[in-house]
Amino acid sequence: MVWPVELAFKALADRSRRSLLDRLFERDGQTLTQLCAQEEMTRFGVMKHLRVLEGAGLVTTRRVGRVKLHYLNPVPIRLIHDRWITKYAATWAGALGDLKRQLEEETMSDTLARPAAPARRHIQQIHIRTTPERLWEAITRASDTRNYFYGTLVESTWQKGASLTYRNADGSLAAEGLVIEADAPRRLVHTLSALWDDQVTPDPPHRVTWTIEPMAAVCRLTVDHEGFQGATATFRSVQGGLGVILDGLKTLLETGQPLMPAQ
Amino acid sequence: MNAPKHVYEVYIRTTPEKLWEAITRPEMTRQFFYGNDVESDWKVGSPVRHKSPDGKVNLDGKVVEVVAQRRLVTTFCAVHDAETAKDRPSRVTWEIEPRGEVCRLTLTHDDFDGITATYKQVGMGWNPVLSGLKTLLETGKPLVIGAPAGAAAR
Repeated sequence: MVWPVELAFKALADRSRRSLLDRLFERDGQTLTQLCAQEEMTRFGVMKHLRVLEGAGLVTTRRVGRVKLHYLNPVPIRLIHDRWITKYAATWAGALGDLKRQLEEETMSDTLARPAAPARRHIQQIHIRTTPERLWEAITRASDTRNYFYGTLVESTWQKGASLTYRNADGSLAAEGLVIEADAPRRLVHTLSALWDDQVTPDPPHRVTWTIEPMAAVCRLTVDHEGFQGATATFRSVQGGLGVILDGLKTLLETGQPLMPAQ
Repeated sequence: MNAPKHVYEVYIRTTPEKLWEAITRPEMTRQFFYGNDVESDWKVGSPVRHKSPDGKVNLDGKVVEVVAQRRLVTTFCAVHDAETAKDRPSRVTWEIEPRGEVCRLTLTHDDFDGITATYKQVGMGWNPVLSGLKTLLETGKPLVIGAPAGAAAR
């Protein structure tokens, strides 16, 4: 029995594997040959390390014609960071008092570093017995979202830069945003302005990333809501309400029926 | 200071009776809990063990509280791993709340001795278990989670 985060830690413990991740961070979507050219390792060695990284969920692959492209999947590292490292950071900062604020100001001015201010984020993962194509469809099609997304209908052309809306059955807006990236059926990134009640409406838009990873007959879906400016009303609403959406999506795809009866 | 804990909520179309059975019976747990059989007489103070098919104990704990079909509290020690086996037992609480045709299951894993190896490891470990439990109860079939597609193809 191996818990997934353990695999990520073990994969990261090796210098050659961290170096491969750095190469993919510099340029995503490389072939084995391209990666070999930048490493002082045999082709077999690179393959072996890529397999470990893939097994740990840190790298995903995609076939395009005859070549296989490797992509960085930062989600496990983010989870480690968010669930563990940020907690330590908070403790230290709290103990250091004024120095904390000083450091934050310095960090903020350094564009390479992330601000130490407590920007909130909510990440949730679910495993669904379905294909990536069907899952993508269910996320992007109104006839599906109405059955699990609080009865709302999603609408967009799903082109980069296009607008995106979630409308209630009466036509009023529940949320709106812009498509930042749409790589069907793997990755969807968009902004989201919450409009579903008076508390959330004044909040600035945040960012949502949907990542679909096929694992044999199952897909792992990771939904990442980030960029909240503190514990805003939208953050609390997403934190409390995303679970029922994802559970409803899973039930819909696995049984063909909505989890909750239509309102 | 917030004490470290993990909280998961899952909505499942099932009855509290079936959900309770799924958590407490080996022929059910082996279908969603990393293939483990649960073993306990579910009396307060009794041991609770999750075992591999070969009989190896992976999780070892004790029953702390039992309210059938509503609430189960046990201690949790992941003895399958040398590092987590050193941590003192933490606590797992399963709470079942019926809501119409659906049950809300809340799983809280807390009482860690700070940021322990166990705390780090279980963070992502409960997700597949709870996804599998939901699939089993709603479709009658286990959720077989494979390796990522690329790794399986080689």
